[in-house]
Amino acid sequence: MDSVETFRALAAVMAVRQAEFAALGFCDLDLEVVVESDPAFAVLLRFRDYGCEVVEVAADELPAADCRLEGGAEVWEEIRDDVVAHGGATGRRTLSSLVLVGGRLRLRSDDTMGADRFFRYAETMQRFFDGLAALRAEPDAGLPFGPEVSSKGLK
Amino acid sequence: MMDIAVGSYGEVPDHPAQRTMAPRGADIDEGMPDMGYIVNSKSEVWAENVAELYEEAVSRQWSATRDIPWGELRELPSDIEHAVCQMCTMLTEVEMIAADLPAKWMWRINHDFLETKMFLSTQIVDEARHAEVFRKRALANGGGLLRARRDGEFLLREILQAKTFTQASALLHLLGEGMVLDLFRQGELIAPTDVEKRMFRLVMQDEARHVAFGTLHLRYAIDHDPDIAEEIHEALDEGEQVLGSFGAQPTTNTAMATLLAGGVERIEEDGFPMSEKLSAKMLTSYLARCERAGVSRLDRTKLPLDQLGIDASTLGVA
Repeated sequence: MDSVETFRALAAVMAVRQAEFAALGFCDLDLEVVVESDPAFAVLLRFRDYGCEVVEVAADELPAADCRLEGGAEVWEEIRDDVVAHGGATGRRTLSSLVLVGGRLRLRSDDTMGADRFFRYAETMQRFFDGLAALRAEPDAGLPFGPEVSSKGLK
Repeated sequence: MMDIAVGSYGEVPDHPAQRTMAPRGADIDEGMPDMGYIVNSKSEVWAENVAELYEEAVSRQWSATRDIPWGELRELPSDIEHAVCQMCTMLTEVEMIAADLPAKWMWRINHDFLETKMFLSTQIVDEARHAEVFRKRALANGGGLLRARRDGEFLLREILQAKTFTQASALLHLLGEGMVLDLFRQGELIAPTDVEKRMFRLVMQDEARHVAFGTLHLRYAIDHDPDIAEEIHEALDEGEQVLGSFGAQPTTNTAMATLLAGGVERIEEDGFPMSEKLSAKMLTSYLARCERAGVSRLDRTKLPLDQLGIDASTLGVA
């Protein structure tokens, strides 16, 4: 999860599934994702309408965003593994559940309106990360898309 | 609505000269009848994000029939099904207050504040859908509607009888729906199947919009009329007191603790302690929103913050 390519691939999955995301409604959110690894990794996800722009950022110079999801590499791997195994997040490994209990994944914002904005788009956010199921489990495979999705569209 | 709010069409008067349904920006005949609006000051109803929230609400509508995977419901252990049905009974009861209250005020609000009235209309539809989805869930899997408690009704009456729209908004959007938003977050956590997971994520989105409106409405009201802060505090003083009784009722607490523990067997060891922690988190979120709205409750609230383990320094963590 600590590579910008992974998030660009997720954005590509979102683009392929634009009709599905359009049915959820437009989204307007700047979300930072921070993976607390060594070195720390951070990426800015700019959700606009039914798509997402991915911007690589320095973990020690985080830009202004509505809110930030941060957690250790192990919780992000757990999220990915759960999604890949089940086709989507299950049980207490959804984003909303993880930020509510346990403290391993934290939703932070300098402005409580920013954190609440995350919940205004809760379903879109979960579907975006559920896109991990469409990516290859092997990060070195070279192709961002897994068996379900190709760059030409949904099979 | 944001793109067309240009020139005179986008100018929302602080105190409209007319009390008619004539569209803001239109040429208006002489001798128009007075519609009898009693809310005629912008600061009484406005929020800077209201047009954005209206567009978002329209874009993100969903269907309690089409968008919930009802076909994936499965038979649950009786204690879990009972707890889900008790939660859904309570939620069906409280959700419609957030439709009744805007409906009570809308026809009293000057038509020049059209964006607010349009947003409140979406809230009414949202709440109808929430009542629908929780009622359907209670009845769809063999459990049914369970007990409605009088404590809940006292809270609803307190909200419904607020004397001004701003006090009503403080009680409904900030206190009531703020708490319910966090309750929906808990619902997503403890959902026993994907049916409830989806249900709670979707209602969470709607509720967060309503809270966003209320938070920035109160901010706007106080920025333009600082004296109104005391009125808001007085409403919240009363509301928090009634909420305390509502929160202490055993029926819903036990249901939530059962779901948090994954069943009644570990309710004492896991369920109730976890429920207490989440209640503290819920109140922390509420206090953070109060700060944002400009009505700091930290030195005013009678809620036992120390006893609840609430640390004011954690207000920035959702």
